[in-house]
Amino acid sequence: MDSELHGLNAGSDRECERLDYFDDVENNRKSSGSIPLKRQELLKWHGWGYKDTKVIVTQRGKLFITSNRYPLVKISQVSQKVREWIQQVWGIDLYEVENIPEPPENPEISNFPGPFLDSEFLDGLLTLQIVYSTDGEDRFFRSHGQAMSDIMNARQYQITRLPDLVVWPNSHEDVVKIVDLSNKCNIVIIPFGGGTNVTSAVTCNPNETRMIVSLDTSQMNQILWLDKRNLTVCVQSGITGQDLEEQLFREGFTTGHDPDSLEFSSVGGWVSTRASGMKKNRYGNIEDLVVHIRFVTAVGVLEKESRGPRISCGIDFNQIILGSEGTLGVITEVCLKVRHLPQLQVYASFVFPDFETGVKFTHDVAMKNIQPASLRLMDNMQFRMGLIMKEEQTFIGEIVDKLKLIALSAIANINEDEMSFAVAVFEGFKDEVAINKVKIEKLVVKYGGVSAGAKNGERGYLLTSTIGYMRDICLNLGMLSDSFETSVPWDRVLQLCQNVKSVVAEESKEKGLKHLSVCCRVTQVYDTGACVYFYFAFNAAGVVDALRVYEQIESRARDEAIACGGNISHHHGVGQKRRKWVPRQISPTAVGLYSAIKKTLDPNNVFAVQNIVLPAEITSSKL
Amino acid sequence: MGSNGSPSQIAEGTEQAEDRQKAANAAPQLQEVLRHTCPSPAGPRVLSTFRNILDRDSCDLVWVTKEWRPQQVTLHARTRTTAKIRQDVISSPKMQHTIEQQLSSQNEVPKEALWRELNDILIEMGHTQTMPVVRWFGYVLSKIMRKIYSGVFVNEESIARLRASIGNNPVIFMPSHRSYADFLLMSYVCFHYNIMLPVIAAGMDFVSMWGVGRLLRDSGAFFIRRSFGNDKLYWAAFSEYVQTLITAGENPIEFFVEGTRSRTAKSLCPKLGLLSVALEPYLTGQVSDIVVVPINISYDRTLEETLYSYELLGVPKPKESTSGLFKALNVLDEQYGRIHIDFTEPISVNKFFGDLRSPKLMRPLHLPHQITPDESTRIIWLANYVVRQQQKNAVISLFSLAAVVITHHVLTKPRNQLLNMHQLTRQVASLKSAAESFGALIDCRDNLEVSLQDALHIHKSLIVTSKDGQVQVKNVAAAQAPVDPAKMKGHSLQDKTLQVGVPMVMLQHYVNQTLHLFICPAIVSLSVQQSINQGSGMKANVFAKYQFLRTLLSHEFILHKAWETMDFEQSIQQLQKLGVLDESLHDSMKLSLGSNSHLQQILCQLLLPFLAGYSSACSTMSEVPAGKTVSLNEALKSTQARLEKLLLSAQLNHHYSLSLDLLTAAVNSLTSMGAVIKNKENGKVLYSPNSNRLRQVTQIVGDFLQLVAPICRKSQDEQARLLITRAKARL
Repeated sequence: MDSELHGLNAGSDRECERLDYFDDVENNRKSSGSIPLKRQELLKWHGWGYKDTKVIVTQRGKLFITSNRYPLVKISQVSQKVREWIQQVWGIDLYEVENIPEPPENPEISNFPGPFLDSEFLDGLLTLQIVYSTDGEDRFFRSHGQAMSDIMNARQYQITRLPDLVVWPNSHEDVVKIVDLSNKCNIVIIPFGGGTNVTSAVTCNPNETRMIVSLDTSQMNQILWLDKRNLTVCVQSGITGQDLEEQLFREGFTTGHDPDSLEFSSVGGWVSTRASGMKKNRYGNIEDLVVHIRFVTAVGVLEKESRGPRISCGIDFNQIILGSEGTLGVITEVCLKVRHLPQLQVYASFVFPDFETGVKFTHDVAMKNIQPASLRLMDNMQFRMGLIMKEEQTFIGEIVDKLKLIALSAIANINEDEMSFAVAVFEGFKDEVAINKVKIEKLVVKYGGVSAGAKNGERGYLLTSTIGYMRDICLNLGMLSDSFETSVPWDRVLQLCQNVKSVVAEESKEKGLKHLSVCCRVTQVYDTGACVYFYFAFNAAGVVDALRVYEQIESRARDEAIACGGNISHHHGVGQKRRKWVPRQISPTAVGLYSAIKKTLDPNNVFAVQNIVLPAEITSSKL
Repeated sequence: MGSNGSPSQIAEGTEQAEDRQKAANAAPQLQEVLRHTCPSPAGPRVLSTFRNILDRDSCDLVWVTKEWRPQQVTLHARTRTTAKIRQDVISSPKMQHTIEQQLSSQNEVPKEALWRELNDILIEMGHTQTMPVVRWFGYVLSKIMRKIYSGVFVNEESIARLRASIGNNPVIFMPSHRSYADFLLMSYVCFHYNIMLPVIAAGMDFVSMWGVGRLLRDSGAFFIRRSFGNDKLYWAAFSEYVQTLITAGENPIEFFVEGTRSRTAKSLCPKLGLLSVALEPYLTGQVSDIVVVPINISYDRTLEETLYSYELLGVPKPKESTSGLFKALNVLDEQYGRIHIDFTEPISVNKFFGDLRSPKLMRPLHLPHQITPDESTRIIWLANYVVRQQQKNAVISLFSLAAVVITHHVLTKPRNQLLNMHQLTRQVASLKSAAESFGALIDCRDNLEVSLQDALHIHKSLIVTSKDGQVQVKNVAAAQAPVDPAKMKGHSLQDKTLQVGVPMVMLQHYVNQTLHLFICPAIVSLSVQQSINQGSGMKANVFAKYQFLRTLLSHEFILHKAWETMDFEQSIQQLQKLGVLDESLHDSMKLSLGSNSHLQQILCQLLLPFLAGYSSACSTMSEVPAGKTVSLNEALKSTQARLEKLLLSAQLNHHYSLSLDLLTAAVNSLTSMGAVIKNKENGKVLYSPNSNRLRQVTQIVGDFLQLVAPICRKSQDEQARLLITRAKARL
């Protein structure tokens, strides 16, 4: 197929027809979003993030970051100690890795199967003058998310079914028309936002006989209005977190929603997966932030006729949009709460003698209800993984570091091989922050912890935004690695962490894996429990069918997390990866209820992406 | 070292019959689970993988002072001090809840008093494992063991297997329990192989022994009161203590699933209390899995053999005391042969249970877990499986086989026909091959004759071989102090009954070591015989009889209901191969006896003391007038009296029927069969007959007994003359 975009001129200077906004963000409110129509111009096809940003390992353990996008040290040096440790756990000598094989810059075009096109639908699109493409690369880019398995499959061109066409609507109205057309022509639509899902949530059903359209919302990237008096902002669903926050920042506002994927993920994606931001303690999760949603379904638009801050009018149907994962319709516009930018933002970090005391500390923070905007606790292994990317030490610096460690172990009885590491962000007015900080620091002391400075705290948060890049370099090095998360009541946090680690270790042993690491962190501190994140990596050298092995182990780990009081996911969602746990998690009655909703809102199964529940369960449901 | 007095008692409160029913219901499903999770070990077991750990390169002093770097039990394990463990128990949510919310408010006891009491309980309970003590103790033990044992043989293949399964999950060691030595041996072996030393649940009786309690504490024992009835605080403290050991996973936990030392050398029916407590952290999702390792410890000669004999006959056991221990040191002058230790295939509880855990059922951790019927079924199953694994991995000494042959001879042959060495060897050889076909590993390192002579030599205080090759049983009873009748636990038996009884019961101790091999085949062949006598021989008819006997003996042997059919089919196959049953018949639904009538006779004869004892128990219970009740003790006493009369009048000649353990099992068995009704009045347990059912059972048991009653009867006096050689003067 030719790679031209169809109908490019059609929608270029169309006006937004909505007039009910109070305050233009800009005089010419049409700002260009940071994600181009052709994602491949900016983003990697074989991994996470920007094309220009890579982590490169060179001789003697030097790490380079190839762009200035992240305010991290550009060159870092793996210390001898870290080198030995990594050698021990991963079986990789970071001083000896050179010329790591890397996937080519651009994917091999010849590997893409041709599209299956429905002429009636194509005619319809042309009439509607909506931009679309049938180019292989465009389709390929929207055939997968960012789960490790997705990336591995993409790298090996193992994705058997691509969307047949990509369409870029510009507005709610465009979406309504596309959905109508699809419903009429019996076409499948898979909504695509930032493409950062880690649940295989955009994977096409290889047995789908109908034409599949990937509906890319990236061009629906406008702030429609900002209402400073009522502290709300209305956006098109395709706007990325980064674009939204940048524009709000200029106005002195923020949504406060800050997921790790902020640069790429879209507001629509947040809503459809029930996303969570790291500063939820102050601002709330997405379900707390959402005021209004416009949701285009195959049978009509679902939205509330109210702008009030709350409504008691029977069941809140926003709740079936939140977490619908593209299976019921397309989110086109979202109205979110905003806040004034905080007067002060302060980072902090603490070390604790071990993970257990760290957990007890975070628990006590929750008990006393003094959560900072964000509070995270890394276990020892994760903390040490973070040390891989550390600036090269001068001789003096090294001595100072050593002295610090000696002081730590002598005064605070904290040793490097056991300690856990907490990072925090405080936000608010100066006095508010000061009081909060004092309270936290007191509690830190109570649990035998010691403050480790603001710089380390900030670094801790920055590192999270590079985790995707680190994952990719791991893949290049032959390490399979990915994360999974869960949420769990307080009394079981520690045990869940221990159990999941034990199970991963035991399963790995059974599968004969020699080099692996599993570490965790507590990333959200609720009153009633916590969100726990696990990172599991193993050296795949010599492992037969490594991806399957990975998934089997992860599956066992998730079984264990659920068995000991956790759940299927805190914020990643279900997608197609975790469907098997859903009936047990929400009860078969709930599956039946979901199926009934699905049948009502989407009688022709236009939104045929098979997320949340297995298709067989929908068919067999009696509701 | 008896471990769990009260937990077992509490667990036994649930009716066993009911348990078995539940187990039967879940059987097919569990069989499925088992097939996938507990594969039987690859090849047959062989003696060559056993290594004598006393036979080592380094001298004892170097050995005990070696660098101690044991393999960690779990990933997150951290060594805690005794005080820290106590603190962890005290600050646990469950303990807090029990004291603050339950005990204090319900009983209006001040909290402070309860906290103090808890602290005292924990100090009384707590272990204080310290390596220097362990090392010195290890040194002394080495010296003692070298003196009295000719070797402590450990299956090194099983050690390798154990090592491979340690590292991620808490571990429970469950050794068989035949002797006080078990407890010391386990730690000794772990020390030798650099396996983290176990923390061991022990009975409280040792604490009072001056010095010994402390020594055991320092070697890793923690102490549980033998009975604590309804003491909720003690119960909570005890279960929390066990559970903190499991969840922290720093040491393996060791306890004896049989609950106490088996005086009979047969496995005792497993106790579920401590096991349930220990599994709770798994069931409530606090640990991801628990590795259970059944362990068999086989002794050539049991240290306590004489003591057990007296105890079973009702002569009271001396209270554990340090001076008693020193008196017992004269055991050091004797030889006790070899010990064989085998760590059986580790069991993953998670796999065994098929993961029943569900957050839906989860309650906050401060509330006690309520065991679901499903869980309880599986716990019973697991407990039985553990004991069976212990049995399967026994090493049988030749003396045990000799004991079978000698007992059979004594019971069936005329008095003037003595057993000579030649006959004994021949019969042991044939029994050995039969036992091997039932899966036994027999300790026979040399040619049979030499090995047998060695084995007999170890037991020279019980069996003597005269110069002309006559094998005879020695009178051991005479050497003991006279027994005060007032102290007898059961019926006060006559002196002459004890004279024959003690050596016969001692001999039976070694016969019993083989019974787990023979019990199912014995039941099957007796069932076949009776079925044929009654003119049937149809498989279904045999199975019904087999089922009856199996139920009857289920308190005596490990005969878990769920294995009923499997065991039946297996036994038939084995018996056919051995020629006890006829293989050639074409009709697969019909069974008949084969040519090997000698083995058939021996097998059936093995059931004699049990059937005789049970039959007398039936009679005793039948004589309880309607509307009246008896206590267990009364029932035992009058049954023993009845049996003694039978022995004196030569209507019975096997003294093992007098065993109080056997008779207790009989009463329990009659109770679960509904022939006897158990009532609780004012905290006392009383029994009354259920006439119709009891009459039925009595009749059937009597019929079976008729079949196995020996061909040639001898009075007790005759028997005494036959058995006892040296001690004649004292008779």
